[in-house]
Amino acid sequence: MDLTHSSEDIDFRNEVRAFLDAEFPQELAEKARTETRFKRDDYILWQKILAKKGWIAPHWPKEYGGCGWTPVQLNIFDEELTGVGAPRVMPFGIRLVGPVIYTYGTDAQKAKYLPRILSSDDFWCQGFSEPGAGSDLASLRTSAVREGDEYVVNGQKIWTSYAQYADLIFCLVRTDPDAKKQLGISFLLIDMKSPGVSVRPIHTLDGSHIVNEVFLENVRVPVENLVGEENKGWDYAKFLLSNERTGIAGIGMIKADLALLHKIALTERRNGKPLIEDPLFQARLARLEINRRALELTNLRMLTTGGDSGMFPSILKIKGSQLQQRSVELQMEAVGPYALPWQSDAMEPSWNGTPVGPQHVRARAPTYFDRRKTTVYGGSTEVQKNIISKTLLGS
Amino acid sequence: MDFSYSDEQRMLSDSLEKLFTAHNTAAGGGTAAQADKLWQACAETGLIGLTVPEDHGGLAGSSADVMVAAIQIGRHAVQAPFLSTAVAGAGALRLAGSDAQQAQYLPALAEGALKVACAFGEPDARYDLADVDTRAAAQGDGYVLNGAKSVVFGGDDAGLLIVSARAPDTERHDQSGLSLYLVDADADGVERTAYALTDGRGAADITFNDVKLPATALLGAQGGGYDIIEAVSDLAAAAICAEALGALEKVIGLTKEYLGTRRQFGKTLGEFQVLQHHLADMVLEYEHMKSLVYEAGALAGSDDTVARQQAVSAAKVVVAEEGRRICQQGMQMHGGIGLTEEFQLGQFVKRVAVADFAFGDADHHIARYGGHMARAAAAAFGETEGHHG
Ligand SMILES: Cc1cc2nc3c(=O)[nH]c(=O)nc-3n(C[C@H](O)[C@H](O)[C@H](O)COP(=O)(O)OP(=O)(O)OC[C@H]3O[C@@H](n4cnc5c(N)ncnc54)[C@H](O)[C@@H]3O)c2cc1C
Repeated sequence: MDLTHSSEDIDFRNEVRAFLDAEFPQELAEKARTETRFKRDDYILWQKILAKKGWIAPHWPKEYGGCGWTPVQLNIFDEELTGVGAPRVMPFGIRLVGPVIYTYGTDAQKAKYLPRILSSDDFWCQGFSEPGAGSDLASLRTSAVREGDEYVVNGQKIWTSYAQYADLIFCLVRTDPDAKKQLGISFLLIDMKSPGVSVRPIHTLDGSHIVNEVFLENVRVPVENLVGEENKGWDYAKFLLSNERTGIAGIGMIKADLALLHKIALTERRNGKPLIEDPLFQARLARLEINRRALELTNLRMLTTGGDSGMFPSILKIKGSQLQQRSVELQMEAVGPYALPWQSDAMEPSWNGTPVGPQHVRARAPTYFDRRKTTVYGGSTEVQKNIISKTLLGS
Repeated sequence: MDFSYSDEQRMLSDSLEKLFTAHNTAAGGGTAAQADKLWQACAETGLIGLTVPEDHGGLAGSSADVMVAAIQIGRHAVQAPFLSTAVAGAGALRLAGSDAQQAQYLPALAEGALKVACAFGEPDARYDLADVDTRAAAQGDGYVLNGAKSVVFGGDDAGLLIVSARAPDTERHDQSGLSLYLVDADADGVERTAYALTDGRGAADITFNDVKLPATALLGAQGGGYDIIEAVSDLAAAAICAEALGALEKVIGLTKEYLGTRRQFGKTLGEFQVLQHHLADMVLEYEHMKSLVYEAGALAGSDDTVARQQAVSAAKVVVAEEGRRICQQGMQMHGGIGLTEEFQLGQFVKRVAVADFAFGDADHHIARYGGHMARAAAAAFGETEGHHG
């Protein structure tokens, strides 16, 4: 047993750090420092820099542009990027639809879409959830009816993240209304500029606009945009969702959150001492750190020993999302009364008002509300627990 | 012992229920004109003068009456500055004001013509009410005020500010150096940065630069400010706990309703046992909280300082900790919908989030409660410093 990183891993970490020192743009670093929300151009700017380096899709097979890194290296990469506050690489193309296309797509689809995913020339979004189909995704009702060389799509998607930025949406649609619910679903790629596609924003409690409703009215989609076989979409979706869950523990994010929390707790004072020395606060912070440590080791243990048990991703997802929430909860607690002024607008790049309190207070309450999503999306905590208990009890 | 509302309290609660429903307060703060109309209507029902003595045009209500009203305010997400004006402002004037000061301000307050805000907190003080750096120096037969206050509830549009300040020759944490001053919010040298709190209510950070005050600005005895400040903060803390209780009733009600209607996997969510248990947890914590909030309401105006502080701190800790957890469970069980601006759950959750961090957070009140606990133990069992063995 040896729980330390190998010297290759340490060299690798240094290589990533050197790259970030040289290439992470100052303007993005400044936005990260001031907790200003990233917008479309910020994501694209950063993704193009990663693409140029060949590091945009490290987990892809080498033949499609991947790096051939070990799971531990992928983890180090994620930690280092999050550590400097880099915009998250949008998962929809790189992590979600890309692997579906290179695994199940036609040669024409691979040639058409993969290069543009890697270069960030296409911005993708994910059209799975519907008003009536959340946790119970297979009950989705958006229909696609074949007419000659086209499907005619009708229905509604909801919670579609970044649909307002997207060029393309990958959708689950029902192609056989009579089949058992998982069996009548197909996987379609749809151009967001097609007539009949409209997007309505949904504003969330943190005061931001990320998610949307997407309405599809008589949208005509060429049959060549079907991925794999008709009515086999559920299999591809399961494959995709299993990719969605890797890295879902969000260790990098939690570590970055904790670093910020330490800074805040050193600055804020209680009873004339830095908050980090206050026994009540310190106890909570230490508990959180111990949990972070357990999560990090468990993640590495799973990555290195294979973690083939079906419940491991769920175990990591649940704990990871809880700690992603807990760390920003403590950040909010750390600023005390300054958690009260609502300064969500101050996180927008276009804002030019008067800030209330020190720089580090403005994002606290909005970030607290924003993070509530982590236990809902990507398979809710309750659904993950169902998976764990089914694995254990075999029911 | 009687935990039920009196007939008068029931009438007060019912009339507020009608009033807030009619004004549709749950739809948000509305326009300035709508807010004014609501404020006037509140004055007419006696809500603003609830604790004002009868000879100054009020109802002479108790802190328990305030609780009854605040529960309705929370249930209807009312953004009007009840807490700052009718609870804290009226409380300070009542507890410390001379006859002349009460006669000057309280009738106008009760009529809804004068909004008042208590400016006690400071940028570096966190929740320590004695940590005051604002100074009032004697000048002529009046004072000159300098300093800064932060997160002043209702400070955005109050006409009168009640400001804690210390004599220039006293140390920053010295309680006996503190006095209260009445400051016209439009006086020269008063500058406010107004903003909304998480739940939409107005507040402000306020600075005082050489603000000239007449001798009559002193509220209460010179150097006697601290006890008043603590008493007023406890009134406000008890009231905001009651507001949170009302808001949590809505959070639970909405969640219960949603579990009964939302279907996934061919069942209503309420058929999943884990969600049944989450709801049960929410309710069982709420019921215990309710008892503590009632006790805080009953004792918030008590002359027994220890009993008052223990009751208020107990309620405040449980509202902060369990209130937050109830809201988290409520949001969680709504899935994506529970995280949207559009759905009404959010405004009640945000209401509770404000109660979480206003007038002392959980740690502040745990420490205060713990201090009383340790002193009581020492009194009962002897010296605290005894080393054994
Ligand atoms: C910020 C955000 C971004 C998102 N982005 C996208 C996106 O880009 N594309 C996309 O397709 N979707 C997206 N989603 C949707 C997300 O996947 C769904 O919210 C999720 O599947 C839950 O569905 P729901 O919101 O309908 O909640 P529901 O499924 O209605 O769940 C409500 C509650 O019931 C519980 N529950 C449900 N079933 C069970 C059960 N069997 N046993 C016990 N408890 C149960 C849930 O855990 C939850 O607490 C996003 C969601 C959010 C909040």
